[in-house]
Amino acid sequence: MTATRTRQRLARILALVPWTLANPYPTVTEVMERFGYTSRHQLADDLNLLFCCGLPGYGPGDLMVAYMDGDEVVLDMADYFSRPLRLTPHEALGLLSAGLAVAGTSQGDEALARAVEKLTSALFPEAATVIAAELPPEPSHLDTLRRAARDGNVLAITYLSLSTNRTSVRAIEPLMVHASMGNWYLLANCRLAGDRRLFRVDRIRSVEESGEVFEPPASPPAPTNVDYTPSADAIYARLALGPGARWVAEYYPVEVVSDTGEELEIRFAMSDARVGARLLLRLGAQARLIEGREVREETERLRAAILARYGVAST
Amino acid sequence: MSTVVERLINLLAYLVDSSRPVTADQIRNTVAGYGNLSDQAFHRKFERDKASLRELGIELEKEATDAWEVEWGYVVPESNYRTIEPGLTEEERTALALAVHMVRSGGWPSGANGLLKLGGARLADTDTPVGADLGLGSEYLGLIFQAVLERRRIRFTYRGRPRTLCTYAMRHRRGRWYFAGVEPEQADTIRTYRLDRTERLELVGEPEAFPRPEGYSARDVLSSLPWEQQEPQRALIECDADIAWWVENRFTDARAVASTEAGGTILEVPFVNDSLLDMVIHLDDAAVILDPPELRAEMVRRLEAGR
Repeated sequence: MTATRTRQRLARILALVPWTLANPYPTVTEVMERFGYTSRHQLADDLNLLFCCGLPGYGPGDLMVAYMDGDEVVLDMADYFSRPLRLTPHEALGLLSAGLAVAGTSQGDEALARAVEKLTSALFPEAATVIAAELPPEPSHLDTLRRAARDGNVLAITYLSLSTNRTSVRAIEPLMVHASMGNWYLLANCRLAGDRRLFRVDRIRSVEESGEVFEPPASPPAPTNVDYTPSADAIYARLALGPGARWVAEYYPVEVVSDTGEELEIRFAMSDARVGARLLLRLGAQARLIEGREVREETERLRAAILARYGVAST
Repeated sequence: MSTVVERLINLLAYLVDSSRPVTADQIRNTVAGYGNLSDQAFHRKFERDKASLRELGIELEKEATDAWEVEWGYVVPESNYRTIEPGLTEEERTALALAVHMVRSGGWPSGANGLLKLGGARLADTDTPVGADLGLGSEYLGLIFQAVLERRRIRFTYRGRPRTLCTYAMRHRRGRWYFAGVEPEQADTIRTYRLDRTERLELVGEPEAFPRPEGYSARDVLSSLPWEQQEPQRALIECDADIAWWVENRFTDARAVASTEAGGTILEVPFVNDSLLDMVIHLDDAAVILDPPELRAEMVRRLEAGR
């Protein structure tokens, strides 16, 4: 963590210096906005640090000059840092793929399209054809949810639960929408659950404005990890996976218990026995339940219920 | 923390200000922050510092300090400096900054560093309630990008098997990065690989090691997955009232064929393989496959198999 923070701080300083030398005496506000400083104090810290750095000898004539003069940023004696650094391939890809992905959504505008075009032709003209990055297609309610999160509007949503396939109507305070692993999610305070919940946007059937408002958080919460994290009341099961089901161990966060080459034994946690039951039914003969009473019962119940719809009596 | 940043800045200042290669000994005796260290401690610290700089794109190189090549020192080569100048307007920078900010999941996005190096962007308000995860955390992405742009070969382990690839293109879709290309001995079979199943990836050899087929694009990357090449068939699914709307939305070309007495809907949907069965199982007993008969029989077989 500290190593990451050190790197980020150094990256910002090494970008700030050549820019300030090329654009002398910028305003404090501009430097803060441009380089993402969240407080004047943070910028002052970095300038103070530069003031202590320079060339060997490290006397008054060797150190850089860096300070805030009222509303201006002053930087001098740092000519050796006047040339901006190159982008690493990872940085260039990060910039390009973010631009490409967002340009393909309703959030993209003409300025972004032009930026992406300039960036690709500067990188190399073919980049736009051989690099592609897409966000999942936007479900119909996405824009309404996004606006409600921004403006603090309480919504009533009709939601088809992923775990039960049952529909409920809930009053929610939307906080943010987030694309991850091929789906859009909505993070919201759910008044029905009395807690913060993550909803899959494609499972929201309808949205109505309630007319009520709430105070949105000063800054949106960090995007939530959509992977399931086992809580205290998690249900556990052990499964033996045949060759055709080994992907499960890559796809879900599971613990590998043993691997004979023929069979991979895993232990995994779930919030609801139905998750394990559906997985077992999907895998058919490719997997076997070794341990997990709740999952076994739920699997048998679900199997019988589905087979009944095919006119097959359960034995 | 500030002492590390200070030492790195002093090291870099000394290196770039010097007109000649500087030796490790000179660095040790001259640059503030390296004083009073044992040989071992100095080398450890210096190696760590070089690695920190490398991650920011600053690659130190070794050069002989004199014509007799007796002594070697470090330089910051020309290649470390900005090679691209996209000439972005302020408005375009801001648009790009918003995009980078939006894909901020998974820690500090690499694109943000890239934009800072291009001079940053004026972005007063970053509090948009929209986020996205482009899975940019993998260190291999930069290498694959370089391989695609420079047409260099890569070597990696894929599901336990070593591979060498001439990579034509890369694509992020539905939450994953994929890359596609040919193995040098099988130049007519383009294969797609998933980044998250890739291990020990490295660049090998020189740039421009292979031609990219005319007209090959990132859009073709996933079409080399076997199921993307098949012509879809049509299936009929009976869906209960609660879930029919969702199933219909799930496909771009689903068609409601009839209503059922119970208020459900019979939908005609496309399918190419068993993944339709997986979707229907996740609907529990709220959906039934009606047609084609083989698919319906396969469903019953699958359900009975695990008994």
